Amino acid sequence: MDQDNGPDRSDSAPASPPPERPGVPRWVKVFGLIALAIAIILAVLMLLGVEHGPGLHSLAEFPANPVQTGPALSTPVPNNSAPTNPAPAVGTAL
Amino acid sequence: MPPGLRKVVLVAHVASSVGWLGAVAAFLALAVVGYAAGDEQTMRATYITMEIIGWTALIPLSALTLFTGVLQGLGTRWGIVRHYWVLMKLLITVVATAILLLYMQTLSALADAAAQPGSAEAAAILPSFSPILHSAAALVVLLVALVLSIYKPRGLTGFGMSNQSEP
Repeated sequence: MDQDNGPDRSDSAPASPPPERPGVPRWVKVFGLIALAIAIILAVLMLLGVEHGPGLHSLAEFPANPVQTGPALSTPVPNNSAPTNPAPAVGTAL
Repeated sequence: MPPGLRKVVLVAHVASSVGWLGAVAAFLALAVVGYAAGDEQTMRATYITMEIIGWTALIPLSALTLFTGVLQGLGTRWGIVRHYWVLMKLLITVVATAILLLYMQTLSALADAAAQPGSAEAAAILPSFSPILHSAAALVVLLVALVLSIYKPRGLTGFGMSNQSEP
């Protein structure tokens, strides 16, 4: 039979190995890790209760530095530290 | 895909994707100006303009980029899921477009607040660092997609391996 007399292909295989199936390239793994890290950070922020909206990252998060808009910006802000009826400078009435 | 049509789609894809990148850069410049503006009128104008850029430039260009990119993949030997760099670009475009669509709600809220001088809402959210953060991130992501397009790093997906003999 042909199969018995024929050469054994497995033994007489060429010295060069068959084309190896390469895995996922390194750059793809790096991209995946970066994406995973970003996803984890966002998930942690959501779990911590950080709301995602227009107010996020705004200066309004800092009450000590409120942002004034609208008429408040054009209205002169009274200086509370200054007396409402400043006394005349010493010596002017004298 | 016929060569003539392929060229047309390629031109549309390059123009839309580079236009998207440029629109994001302009958006980022406005976001920085709006955040750092010394006068209120400039600040309000930038947030209103940013919403206009979003609806008239960012969204159409992102949709056109996605559409022409898929056409390019389907009509050429590169495919859509055959090469990692093409697949990565597709994911970047899909995710960036989705985030942009979602972010338009925030942008509209900022523009509405900017259009209402003296409102409590405006005082609460303006100026916002959010547009700077999002547009800077978008710029980085779109630059990554651009680099992938130029360098075309090697790597076939499992689907690409199994269909390697096909044209």
